[in-house]
Amino acid sequence: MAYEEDDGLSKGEKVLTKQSAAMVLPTYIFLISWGLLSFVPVLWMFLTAFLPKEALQKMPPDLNLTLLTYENFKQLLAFPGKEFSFSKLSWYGSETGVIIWWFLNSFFLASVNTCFNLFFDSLAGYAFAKRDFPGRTFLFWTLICTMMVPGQVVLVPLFLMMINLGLYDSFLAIILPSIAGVFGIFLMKQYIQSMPSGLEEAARIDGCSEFGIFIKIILPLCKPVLAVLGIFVFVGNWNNFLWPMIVLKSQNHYTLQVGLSILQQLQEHEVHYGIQMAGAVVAAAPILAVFLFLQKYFIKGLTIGGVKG
Amino acid sequence: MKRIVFLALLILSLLITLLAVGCKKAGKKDKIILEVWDFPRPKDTTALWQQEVFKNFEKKHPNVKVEYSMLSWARGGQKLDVSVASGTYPDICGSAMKPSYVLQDVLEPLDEYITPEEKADLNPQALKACQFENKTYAFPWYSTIYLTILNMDVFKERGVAPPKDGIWTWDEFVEKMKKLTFDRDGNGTIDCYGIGFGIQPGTGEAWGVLYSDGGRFYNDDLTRCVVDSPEFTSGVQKLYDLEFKHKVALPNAGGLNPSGDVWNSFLSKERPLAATFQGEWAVISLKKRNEKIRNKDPEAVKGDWKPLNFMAAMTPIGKTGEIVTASPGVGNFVIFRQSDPVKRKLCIELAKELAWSDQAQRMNYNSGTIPVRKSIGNIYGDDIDFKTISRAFENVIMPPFHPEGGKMDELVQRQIQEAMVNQKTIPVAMKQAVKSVDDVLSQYHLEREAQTRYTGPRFTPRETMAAISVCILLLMILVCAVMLLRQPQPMKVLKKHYWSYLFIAPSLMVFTVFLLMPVVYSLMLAFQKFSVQGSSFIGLANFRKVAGDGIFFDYAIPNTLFYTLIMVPEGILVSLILASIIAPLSNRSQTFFRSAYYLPGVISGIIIAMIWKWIFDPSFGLFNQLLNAMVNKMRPYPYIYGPFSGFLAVLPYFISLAAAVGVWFLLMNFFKEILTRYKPLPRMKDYLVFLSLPALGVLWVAIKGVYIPLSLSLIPMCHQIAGGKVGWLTDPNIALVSIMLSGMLMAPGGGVILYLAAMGRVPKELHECAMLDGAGPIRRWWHITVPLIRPTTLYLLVMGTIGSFQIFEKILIMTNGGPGYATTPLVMSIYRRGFEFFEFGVASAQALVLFAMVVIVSVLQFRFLKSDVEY
Repeated sequence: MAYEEDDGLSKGEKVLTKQSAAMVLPTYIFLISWGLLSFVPVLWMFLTAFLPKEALQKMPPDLNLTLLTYENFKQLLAFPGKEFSFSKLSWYGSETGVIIWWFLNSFFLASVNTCFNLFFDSLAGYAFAKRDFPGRTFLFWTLICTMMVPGQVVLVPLFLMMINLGLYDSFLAIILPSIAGVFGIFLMKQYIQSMPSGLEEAARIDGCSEFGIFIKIILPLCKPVLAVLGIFVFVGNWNNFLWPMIVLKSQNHYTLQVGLSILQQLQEHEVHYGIQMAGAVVAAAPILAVFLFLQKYFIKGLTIGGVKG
Repeated sequence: MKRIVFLALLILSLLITLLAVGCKKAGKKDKIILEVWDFPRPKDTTALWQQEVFKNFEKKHPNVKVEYSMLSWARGGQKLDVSVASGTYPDICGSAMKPSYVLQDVLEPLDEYITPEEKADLNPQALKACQFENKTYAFPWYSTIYLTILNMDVFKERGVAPPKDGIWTWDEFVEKMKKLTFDRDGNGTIDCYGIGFGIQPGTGEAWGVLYSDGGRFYNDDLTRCVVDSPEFTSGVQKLYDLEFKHKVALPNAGGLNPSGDVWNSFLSKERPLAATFQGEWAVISLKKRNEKIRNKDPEAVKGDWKPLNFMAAMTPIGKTGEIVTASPGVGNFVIFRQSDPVKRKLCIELAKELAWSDQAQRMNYNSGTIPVRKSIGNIYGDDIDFKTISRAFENVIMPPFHPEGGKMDELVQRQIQEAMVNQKTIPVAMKQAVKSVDDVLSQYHLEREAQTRYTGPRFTPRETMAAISVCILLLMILVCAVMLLRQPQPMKVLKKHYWSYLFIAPSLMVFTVFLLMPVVYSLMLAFQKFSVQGSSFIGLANFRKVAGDGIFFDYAIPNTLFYTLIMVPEGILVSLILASIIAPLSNRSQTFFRSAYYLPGVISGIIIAMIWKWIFDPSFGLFNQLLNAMVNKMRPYPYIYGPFSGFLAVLPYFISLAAAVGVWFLLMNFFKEILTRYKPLPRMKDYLVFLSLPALGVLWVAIKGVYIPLSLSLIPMCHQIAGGKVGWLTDPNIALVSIMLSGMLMAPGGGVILYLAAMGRVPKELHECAMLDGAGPIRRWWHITVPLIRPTTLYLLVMGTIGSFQIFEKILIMTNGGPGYATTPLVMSIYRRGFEFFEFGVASAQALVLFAMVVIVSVLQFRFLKSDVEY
């Protein structure tokens, strides 16, 4: 299966089911209103993040746009101290500005994992797609079957393992288990399979080593699908929550998602939604930006992975 | 080309260096590091003072570095539990005195470090709360109690006299509450309730009432739970009556968070509450609030705060005729096991400074807590409310002190919740509570005995894992050898393909080590009694525990199935419909809608859940505010409001009937598929299938699994919508459906995109042929498009089912499984067993059940829905 076909979706349908103008308007209204509906939570998040706490506690909420403030972000930045200042910014003392470190931790972990995933997944995907070695089918289907194991089954043993390996509260505990992914291998295999074998045969005849073929011929040709996979892995890791929450101990090592969950109840007897939503904006904004710029790739990735060729 | 390789290598090496730096522990090696964990203290005062203490301590001891970490009130305790279970605890921790830690032998006994003078100066009650089996394990810092806080403005508004000196009997209390519950604006709904309280595991605001008739949690020697005694049951009955008989309590008490929801209502400008059970912190918090208003603090001005005249009163006196006060316990500092005596001495010095210095004791003023040192005197001056507090403190009942205390508290409180929300009668709930608590207790005693008597082999996690890895290694070598030897020329094959094996080796290694090994380990854990010191094999006991686990079978599995049965078909159906509508549009609008629908999907689930929790908030949430405004607008016009509420009254039946019929139809088709796969039926028999015995079974699933639960939640939901206020996440009948609603309102972006792609691949010749034959658009859709995109449907079905079996994070954030167990899904039950109760064995057994369910369902779906159609 090659993904190029997916671009010009449904041309056939379109010719056949041309709708009358009278039908088009209601269709658009319906579709747009549903889109808005699923967008309400996101809008509400932005609104709450930029409104003062007091405006939201009124009934009905005071949605006066002149009230917009970045007070919540200021408080978020100051957490856990009183006031934010760059001189007090520290990783280990966590005097103020921990959120910056959470952000960097998240970014670091997501990018490291993405790099590893891209490399190892394409390596394995290439072998599964182009090399006919004994045991290929068996190993490939074993890998696919592991997709069925619920993450919760391995949660406890993995946790015990990490403790015994001395990796509790270390970034390695998050990086190591996910340096390769089944989804990625599957995606790469599907894509590489659809490429013609001529080039690599030629290179092989010219005496190029197997690794050389992979690096010099396969990888450059895979750039589009690597972009897709990279985005997916990055977003997945950025949004990862349960495992980091369990395996990270000190506040300075938290990722943004884990940190946000502790923001849920900063003070014992008070839930401050404003700060929470400000945190949510900080966590969601980069991903939203990535999506808006690279939406084409997102959609390609979904269709390559979702429909088996 | 070389440039790309070079660049990639550069990035990789850079990242590895970064990794090394990132993972390195900071701090100089020659310094002694004291790790201090504490819960958040009042931000502008006590917390700053603590940082001051650390700085001074570092100045005084130049070779010491204090590392401070803040725990959160919500998850801090759990984090501490995990770190204790894994042996990675801090040196000093605030408010961490738990008997289970004592049993795990991780706390330093402190008796020898307390001088007789210090001891004489301490409040004996407070010290006692830091002792277990006659040994002291913590330095007490402050005491806390629960009180009744009265809103004097409402009392004045209704002309009700407050109790003299804050002392009142139960009958007086109920009498006053009845007068204080009223309809302020005369529109037929009650605007002000007498009392607000909530029941939730880990909170104890209303426990003064539960104790007031002489009921207790345990008998005196902590061997039996006695919450089914008539004294205790009558306490529960009192709370129940407040809501349902006298109707003076804020509704949904069983689902409210006492210090969150209830407190927010109490503070609300509408004055919807005359009194509330709260901790003593409320007194100082209100006092500060009023001060801020008086000083025109910007926060108060912006928030348009109104001063609130208040008074503290005792818990009403019950049948025992004495004042009874419940307490959440004593604030303290503990020191975890130290091997280095120098460090131990430093820890003790620092902990004493944090707990007992004059400054530390005075810091109590900021949080409104009671100092434990007698010599510090009255830090509050001459204030009537604090006189009440100290008076109440004389009759305080400290919370039960037992290693399994947290677990038993959860079991009992969840049962009280069930009774409070009319799921069970009180005696039944309390009997069940006693039964489960007694199980825990007897298990605890048996295990403690067995642990001391057990002489069989023990395997530490390290040994177990080593054994597993050796076994897996051997097995892999064996498999490889067999596979190679089956080849005609093994060496040649190896020589030809070793690159391929090298290419897949890293990935395979990762999966072996981090997936296969844990799965095998999980299999073993399910047969073990886990302990860090060494696990022993106990046969099928864990599975027996799972089988006898009422929560697992009565809540976790039905909740998960209900969720799956509704959400998966709904998701597929909606994406199919949306995709079919989008498909004929122009390319540009297709791209737009695909992106628009997928957009919310890229934001992490926990953020979406946080936003939804906020939208569902009972008093400030978007939904309730809109509803309230709408209903209030409508109410004056009966000819609008009447049909509206009438429509809402019948709506639940239609929706749940439609859902049940839909699920029944789907399952029946699935079942028919199974029958016709092997032996095609003649057309007549095709329909007879719908009358067969298995069909009745499917019908039963549709009724029991969909119709009944759905209508049970929709009826109260619609009823409350008509009233203008819905307990979205606080009403146990509604909560799960609210969670499902939050999922339904978001367009299923992934499904739409996949369907669009699949529809684009349907050959247009087929459509043209059908058109020539005179088929209209709907017929073509049903007979050509839908069958041809079946592989996508299968993919969505399998993935959706797996995903919804594993639903967890969303619920953790939105309701944490409550109220009661109303929204507890399978994975949360696993998570709780594993990471809250530390019964890894039982958790693993549950996880295996989940795994089996996932495998069976996926195999069935694959086997019978796999499409033979090729095009």
